[in-house]
Amino acid sequence: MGERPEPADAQLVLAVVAHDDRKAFARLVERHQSMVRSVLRRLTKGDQGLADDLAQETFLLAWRKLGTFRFDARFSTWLYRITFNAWLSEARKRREVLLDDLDGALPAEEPPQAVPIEKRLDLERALATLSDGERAAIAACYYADLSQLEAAEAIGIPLGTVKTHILRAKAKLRAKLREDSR
Amino acid sequence: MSDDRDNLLDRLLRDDARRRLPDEGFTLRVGQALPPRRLRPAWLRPVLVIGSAAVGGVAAWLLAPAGTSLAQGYVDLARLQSLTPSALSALGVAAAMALTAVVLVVEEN
Repeated sequence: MGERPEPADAQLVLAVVAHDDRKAFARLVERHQSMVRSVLRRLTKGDQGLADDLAQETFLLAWRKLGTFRFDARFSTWLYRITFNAWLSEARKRREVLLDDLDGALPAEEPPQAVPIEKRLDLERALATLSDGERAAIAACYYADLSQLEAAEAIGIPLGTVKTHILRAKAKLRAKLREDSR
Repeated sequence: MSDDRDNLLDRLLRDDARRRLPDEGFTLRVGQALPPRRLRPAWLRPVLVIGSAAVGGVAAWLLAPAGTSLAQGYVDLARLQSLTPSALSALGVAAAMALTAVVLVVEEN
């Protein structure tokens, strides 16, 4: 007798909506907590306490809104949108957040003899130096594994801006990591 | 050279993103913070809806003396004669429907 296959996200969502199935919801949390908490750690510049508080808020909101989930999108994409909005509303309480701010010059391309970036790498610290929009784009495309189009929809900015954010973020990260490795 | 560095950074970001954070009781904390379980049994909603409609219907029937017509009641209401037996009967039916709608809305929310 083989093991039962893991139920898909959609099956778990249906179980929660139709039968108030808390075990199914716990499975969903267990499955997606890493993505949600990682994204929030990046968005909050490494503030793990705040990130986990927002992650809990995200899942509670997801629980309340689960009935509105349409099965035409991935559950993780839908969840990312809630995660991002939870961070955005918290960040707006504290200060103005600029998601489509494209100001700031691109750092100069590193010279060919640059030290390899694996050396003395502190990615988290480097990510914290990015602008809100750049961090949001990196978090969406890498940590939530969304396409650039999905990221644009989730963040609520044009696709072109997401592409620019990613390019600028990578240039800044390379520069920062190069600086650290000196 | 620049491509190599780009691939390296890309790999670095993807590796960091793939690193799974240990749960550390997070799922349990979320479970404990969920609102209490819905205690209403599944049969309660139809009983409430049908029951409120039945109560409204009986009230309308009691308010309406024999021989009154519902259509006449609406005609009376349209003429602003709201105290005729027919008009009272029509109001009773309308109240029953409104009560049913309220129950449906409350249940839906």
